[in-house]
Amino acid sequence: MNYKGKPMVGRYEQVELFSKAEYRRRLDGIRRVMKEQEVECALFLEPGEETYDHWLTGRRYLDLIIVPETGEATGVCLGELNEALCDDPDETDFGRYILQKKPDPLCEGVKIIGHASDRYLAGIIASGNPRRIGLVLPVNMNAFLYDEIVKALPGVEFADISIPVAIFRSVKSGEEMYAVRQSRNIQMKVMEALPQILRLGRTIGEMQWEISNLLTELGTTGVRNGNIHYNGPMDAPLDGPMNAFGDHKLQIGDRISALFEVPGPGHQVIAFERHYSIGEPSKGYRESVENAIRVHEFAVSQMKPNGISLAQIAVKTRKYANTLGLELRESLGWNWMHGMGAFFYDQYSLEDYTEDLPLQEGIMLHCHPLIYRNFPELGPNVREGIHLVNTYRIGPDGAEDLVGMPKDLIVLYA
Amino acid sequence: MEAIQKNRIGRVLELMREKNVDAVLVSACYLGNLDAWLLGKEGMPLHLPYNRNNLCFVDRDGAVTEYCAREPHPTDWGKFPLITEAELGLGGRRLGLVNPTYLKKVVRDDLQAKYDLEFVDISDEFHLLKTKKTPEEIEGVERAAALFDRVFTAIPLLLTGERTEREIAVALRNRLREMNAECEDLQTSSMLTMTSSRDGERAASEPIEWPGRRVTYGDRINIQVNGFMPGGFAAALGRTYVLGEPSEETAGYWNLAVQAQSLIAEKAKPGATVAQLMTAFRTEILEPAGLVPDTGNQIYGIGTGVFEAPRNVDSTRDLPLEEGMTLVIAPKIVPEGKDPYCCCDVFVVTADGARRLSRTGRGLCVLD
Repeated sequence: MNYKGKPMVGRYEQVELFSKAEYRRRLDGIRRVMKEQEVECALFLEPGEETYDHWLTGRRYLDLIIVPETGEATGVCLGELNEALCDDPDETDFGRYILQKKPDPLCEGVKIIGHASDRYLAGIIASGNPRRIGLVLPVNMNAFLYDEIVKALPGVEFADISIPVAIFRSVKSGEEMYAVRQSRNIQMKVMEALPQILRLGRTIGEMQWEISNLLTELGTTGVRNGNIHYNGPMDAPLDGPMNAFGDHKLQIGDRISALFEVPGPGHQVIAFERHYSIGEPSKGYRESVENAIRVHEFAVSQMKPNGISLAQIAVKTRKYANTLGLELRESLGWNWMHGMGAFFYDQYSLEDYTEDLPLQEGIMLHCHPLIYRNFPELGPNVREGIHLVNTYRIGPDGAEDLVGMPKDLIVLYA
Repeated sequence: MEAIQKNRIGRVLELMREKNVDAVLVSACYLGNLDAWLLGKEGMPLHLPYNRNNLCFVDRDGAVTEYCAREPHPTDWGKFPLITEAELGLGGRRLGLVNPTYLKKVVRDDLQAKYDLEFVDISDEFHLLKTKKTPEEIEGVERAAALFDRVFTAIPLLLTGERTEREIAVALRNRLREMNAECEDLQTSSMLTMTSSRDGERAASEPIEWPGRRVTYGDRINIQVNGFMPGGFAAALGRTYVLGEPSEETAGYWNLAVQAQSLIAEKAKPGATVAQLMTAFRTEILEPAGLVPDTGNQIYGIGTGVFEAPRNVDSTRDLPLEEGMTLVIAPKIVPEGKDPYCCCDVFVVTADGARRLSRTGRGLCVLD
């Protein structure tokens, strides 16, 4: 981690990995999309939801980003108080906030302002007199902002530009891939240390604290999702919810999984999961992990920039699982293939508005098809889900493994 | 918590009667942690900004239901029923809106089409319901303050070994995590403000290059945390630390910061306003010392939210204080070009002035 010469964000929070040229590339790219979509202004509504705020401005906790056709874009801070009570709610005063500090000069071409009134924001939007406004995540449009825009710009048209914007962002730049590798390196150090951390007699809770602390110390930030899970004894499903076993002491015969999907510096995320057997694994456990890997590898083998979509890969993977006598979990909201990078959930994504887009070279995909392990000796309907998580970049010939760690079951204390 | 919640709902029902509204819809629940306030939740708040889809609906009987404004985003933790698919039992009535600027168009249009509603902005009055605390709520804030006291006892352990500011921040957050003061995004549950500079010298200019400033012997360090604790309440605490013998200047300014806090606390009696307290701070402490006032937040309410009314940065500064209000009192002494001095504690307003709930000593923290 040699980041010499790079500035810190928020004084001590994180190192800034992206250059001003990289932020400019993103803003210019959005403007190209706007031109193609024939919109003169773009509004990113609740941009934090898919981390467009951080990606476009280097700053978290924004309510809105306004990108006019030319000139400076505007990022609007999340309101931390009912700002209508402020003397001048339109005045930018970062002293008002607890969470949000004065912005660092990370990128050029974007101005950050306080949470101004809807009328004031509509004035900024209307200043270029756009005839057509592109909306990113239009379902997040606030009612009274909409009213003010329509009042300020009678006859204005709106267009949903979420998909073309997502397509542009999904292809990672060199700087983004560098940041992704930093996230991978941090998490890999902790994953590789698990044989030392997973010690007999320690509770799951104690080991989880250690892992969380290590991930933070090594430079992860934001929403942290780096966990170990106790999955029960070798040949019986877990008797209760996964998070109810913090006091369980690690012992021979336990099944453990470690799933890390944590943003590194630059908030770039990569995710992977591996399975651990504490002591010699049972035949059933070993087979279940092998089946999860087999189905995972099949889905990954389909990820090519040849016109196929995530929805089509999901159909093929279901058929493949069935040929092995396995059932694939499919339910609404189970997005088992999705983009990753600026957040632990990016587009493209199964079960979302990009699931039918053909894959393209340069995007990152997270993959975790879930199959079931049956326990017929315990009852006809007793089963549990198991998956294996890994992250890939789509290259010209197919998926390239960005993690580089064997997927096999890891056996400790045998 | 049941009694606390019942009391809160009673206050909401009274407001509904005053404003002649039949129900209340709260958007952007994170503002003041309103879902926790309405439902008496004791856990840590959901992490921002990925859970801004949830709404709280209070019906005419005071029953509170959580909804999603639209299909939950895959990253939303609160996956509640869609309000647009719910039967709210409204019709031709007045609906009170809290945080109306965050009301989604899809929700507004749907409610209007279904119920022919009249929308009434009751946001300011609703937020003000939270200002006065019951004895049980004060106990809750006091418990949170006590947990902050415990966390701060570990700070001398962290200010050793020439660590960088980032390493100190991480170590402190890890201590907070060990106290279960964690939501998924630690930065939004424990809001840390830290500066360090050579004692008596100018503040470091930002941004600072990686790996950040290394804290060494002879430095003055400010650490303040505003945040949530398990139990449903927030607290705040801030102190200045000096590694080695403090300069005369630092000893003097710290005493001034403590004096300022004491002065404000003494005057924080029922009927006084935050504006008057800030004026007293300016005229009795800052001007005699030749110092310029800082415009940031320095006196503000605390409860289920970290930053509630009344506060010095908005019009609630003119609200008369009442017995039972809980306040953060953190006046800032800012010598030109230098890091500030700020003694930050949680207080409750009583007839005799504000009583400090935090128990951490207010002396300058000198570490050797």
